[in-house]
Amino acid sequence: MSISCNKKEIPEIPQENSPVFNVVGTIDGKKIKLHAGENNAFMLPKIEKLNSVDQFTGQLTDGNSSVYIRFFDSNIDIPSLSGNFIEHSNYEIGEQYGFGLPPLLTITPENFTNSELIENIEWEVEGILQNSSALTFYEPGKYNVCAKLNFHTGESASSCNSIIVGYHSNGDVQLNFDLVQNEKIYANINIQEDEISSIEWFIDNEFRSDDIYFSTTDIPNKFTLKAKVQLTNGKVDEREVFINKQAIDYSLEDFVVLGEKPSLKWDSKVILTVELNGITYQSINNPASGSNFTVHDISEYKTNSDGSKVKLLKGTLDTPFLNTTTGGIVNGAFEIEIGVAH
Amino acid sequence: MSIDNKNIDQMFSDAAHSQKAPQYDSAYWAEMNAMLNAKDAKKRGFILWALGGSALFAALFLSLFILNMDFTPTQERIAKTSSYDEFISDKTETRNTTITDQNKSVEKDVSAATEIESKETGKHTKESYVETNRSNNINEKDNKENFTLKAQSNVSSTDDLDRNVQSNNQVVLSKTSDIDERNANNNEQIEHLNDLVKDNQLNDNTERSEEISTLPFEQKNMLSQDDAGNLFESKVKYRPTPNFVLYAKIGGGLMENYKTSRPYESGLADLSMNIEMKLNNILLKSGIGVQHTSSADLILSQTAKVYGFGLTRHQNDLSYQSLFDVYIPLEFGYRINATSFGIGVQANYLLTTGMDLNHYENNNLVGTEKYFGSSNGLNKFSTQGYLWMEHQLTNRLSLGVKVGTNISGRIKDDSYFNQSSTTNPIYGQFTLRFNILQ
Repeated sequence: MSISCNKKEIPEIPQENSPVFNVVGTIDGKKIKLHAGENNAFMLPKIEKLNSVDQFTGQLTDGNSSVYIRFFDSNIDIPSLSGNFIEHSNYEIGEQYGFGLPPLLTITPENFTNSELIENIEWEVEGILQNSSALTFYEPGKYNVCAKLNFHTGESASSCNSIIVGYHSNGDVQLNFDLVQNEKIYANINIQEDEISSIEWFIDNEFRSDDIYFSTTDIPNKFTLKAKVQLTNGKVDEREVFINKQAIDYSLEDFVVLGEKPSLKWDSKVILTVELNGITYQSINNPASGSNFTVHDISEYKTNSDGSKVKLLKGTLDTPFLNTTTGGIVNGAFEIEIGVAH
Repeated sequence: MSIDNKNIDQMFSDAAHSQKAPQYDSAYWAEMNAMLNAKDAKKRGFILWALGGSALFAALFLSLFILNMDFTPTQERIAKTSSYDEFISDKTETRNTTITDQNKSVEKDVSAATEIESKETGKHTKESYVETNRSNNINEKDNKENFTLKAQSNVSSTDDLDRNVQSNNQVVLSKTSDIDERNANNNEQIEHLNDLVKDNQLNDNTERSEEISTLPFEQKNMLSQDDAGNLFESKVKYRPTPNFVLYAKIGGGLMENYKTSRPYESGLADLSMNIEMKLNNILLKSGIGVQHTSSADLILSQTAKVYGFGLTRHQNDLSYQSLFDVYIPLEFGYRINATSFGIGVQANYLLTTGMDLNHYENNNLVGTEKYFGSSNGLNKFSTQGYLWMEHQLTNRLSLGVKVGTNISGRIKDDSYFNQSSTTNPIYGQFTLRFNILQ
């Protein structure tokens, strides 16, 4: 038997180092130099939400000047993939968006098949009533939208759906229905059968069936029909319609698929905002020059104060910037070592 | 544009109004006040120690002299000495007178005998007697000269006188044997005289012994003194032999706190076994002991600037609270009667410690943990120097004081830096010594 003295070792003090997060470069001919830990500069990585979609951000600032980088989420309609920072060697600079720029989606009464019967539409976005019959989105995101169609006859129809704007869709789901002799309803999702993993049908939030094709005569005069769909690629979607059994024209179709939308997508794109001497510069996409943030190295760093994991990205950026004060385009080039929460 | 073209007053006015005036902030004053208080505390600590140390030292030296003083009043001592001298002088004179009287009596008796003898034996006998008588006179002179308080010497002179008288008588009787019968009366007279002399002698001795026994005297000065004629130089050189004492010592006291420099916040206790060598009055001591320092607040720090999301200043404070040493002391000193004093040094070897580790991030305490046995930032070996004083209370017990400080510091000059107010704290201890073998 041996007797030993277990002397507790004093923990080593952390190793001294040089600044980890740095941005050095020029914009509009002016030098910018930020080192987290020096001159009161600090790195603030954070997961932010833009219209219910994650953005992986990091801001390096000393109070006078700052560099703010945002990485857009991708695959936001696939729960298992959304919210994950996807590592790439190049991140395309995202296009400008916002009020004053072309909208990303517009739905007007004219987009409905029974538009001639509609007197107006009351739109609610995230519970906020919009003051126009035309619904317009200027920012990418995922919106909970409720529509209430008021018909000339005094009838009304309403339903709620989730609309994804500015992000790639992993399956164009659309709920179609038909009413036969005002007695029997037929409904389906217009997608290949083999792409559907599961589907559930609800009438007035009461489960009715999990068949791919739904039909029933047991229906009230007015009701909402909802389908919860999961595709084989992991996409999850819900669609809701309003059906008036007695007058099918006074129903409310799947409005998610309606409207005009450009092809711009922000999946995994990056936008840089630089503030220097009170002027804000924002990176702009220039397809002609192939604006990219070229990454040399991505590594896992630490967790930040709110518990989010942080990646350290090292790379270079050389892209045009918009001077938001003057509207002029200037050049910006940076060596970047920045942290991004994910 | 030239500066001459500007309105100078306007320029100054613009400049003065373009900047905000500095605002008073109470935090600045609080910070300054804290700095001033910290400096004052150090000064007060130093003054306190200086005054305390001086007072203690003065007290130690005063006690050294006080303990060795003879408290008998000087007047009393002078009176005793003078009465003693007078007594000796009176007695000497009385004795001389008595002896002279006796000699005269003897001389008278002898001359009577000689007168008878000269009638019978003629001139030769008379000369013999005169010679004998001269010898008696010489003895008498010797007696006078050599008479002192020493009883032995007096007895010797009286015996000589006695013997001389007897010798004279024998000579007279041998030479006057033919006239014994006629001189029988003379013989009886001589014997009677001898008896008188003997009685006087005996009374003298008895009386003198009684007087001496009641005299105030300092025994050491007189009784060991030999006659000058008996002294001789020894051919053997005097070599004092060293005296060894084995003793145990326990000490306890207070020490300056490393962190605050305040003298009453830390303790120092030790226990040791020592050997003392005494050569004449010189003392040399050594031994081995253990020493415990408590509530030391010896703070060593380690800092690191770590860049991350910002700058984090990490600081580990190793706050040593207790230090346990084994030590070897070496002391030199001098002993005066029951008091000894001197200087000492001791070499310490750090055995173990008790320490609180405080971890700070950007000056905020984020963790505290206790550690035992750690010696990070400390030297294993250190030395102390001190002044000491002891006073022997009994044959075995001595009480002492000790004042000292570190000579070579405990703090290792490496990755840690000293956060304490003092590096070499001053300490003071009371000690109790017990002689085991002597």
